[in-house]
Amino acid sequence: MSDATELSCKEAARLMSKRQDAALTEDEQENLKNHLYQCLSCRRFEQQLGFLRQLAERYRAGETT
Amino acid sequence: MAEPKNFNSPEKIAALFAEIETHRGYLIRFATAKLRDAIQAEEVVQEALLAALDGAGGFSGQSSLRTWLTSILKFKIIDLQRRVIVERAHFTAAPDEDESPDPEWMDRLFDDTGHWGTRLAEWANPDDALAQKQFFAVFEQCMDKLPKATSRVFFKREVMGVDTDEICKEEDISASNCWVMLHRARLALRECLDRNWFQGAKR
Repeated sequence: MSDATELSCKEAARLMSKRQDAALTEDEQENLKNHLYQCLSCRRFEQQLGFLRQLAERYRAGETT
Repeated sequence: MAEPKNFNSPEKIAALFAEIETHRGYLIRFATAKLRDAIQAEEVVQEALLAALDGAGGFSGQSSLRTWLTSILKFKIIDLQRRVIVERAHFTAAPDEDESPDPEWMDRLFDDTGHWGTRLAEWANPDDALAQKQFFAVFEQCMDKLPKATSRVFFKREVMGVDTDEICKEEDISASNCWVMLHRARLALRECLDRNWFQGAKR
């Protein structure tokens, strides 16, 4: 049984952050996908989270460029 | 005693000395995340840098300088932790005095219906930012603004690349608490980089 819920941005942001550290359930993935499809701000948040991870990795190596 | 092999010329070593110093800030953050104690962190970094200067000839340049310094620091931290365990059977870290000054902070990013309070702007040329030393300085300032435990958990997860399970154990917190802290850190850092770099760059 699928539990399709309309996510708020706040909830979507929380799931995107959680996804950086753990697997989401199928329902969570589905709900997030539907939300991202219609929400530009959250798509930007998704990109920026990815960038933050890249930034932290670069910071660990300690070299610019 | 055998001298360590020296692959580098005196000129190269002098330049290396100057460059080593530029990594002090990173190393202090690394040690603070591991030890939770700012004074111990300063001391252990000092020890590591002295050891690095001593053995500078042994730096082959195959890994980055920061990676090499970090590996020396890790040994110094393990040494220190051993000494501390011997000195005190029960090592308890100092409590974080600045925890969660404003738990409502995260809620204010969103309106009553859970939408973003302000629409998120696109970040222009993020790859250019990664090529600039100044940008990393802004990143460090942003991390320093986080509550101590939040900053430590973020550093362990994203900079050191430690698994959340491991972090939970070290910090003695639940997995959900860990995710909340990481989420807060990411939201706050996003805001901070947005305000202090990306939005400013458009001007």
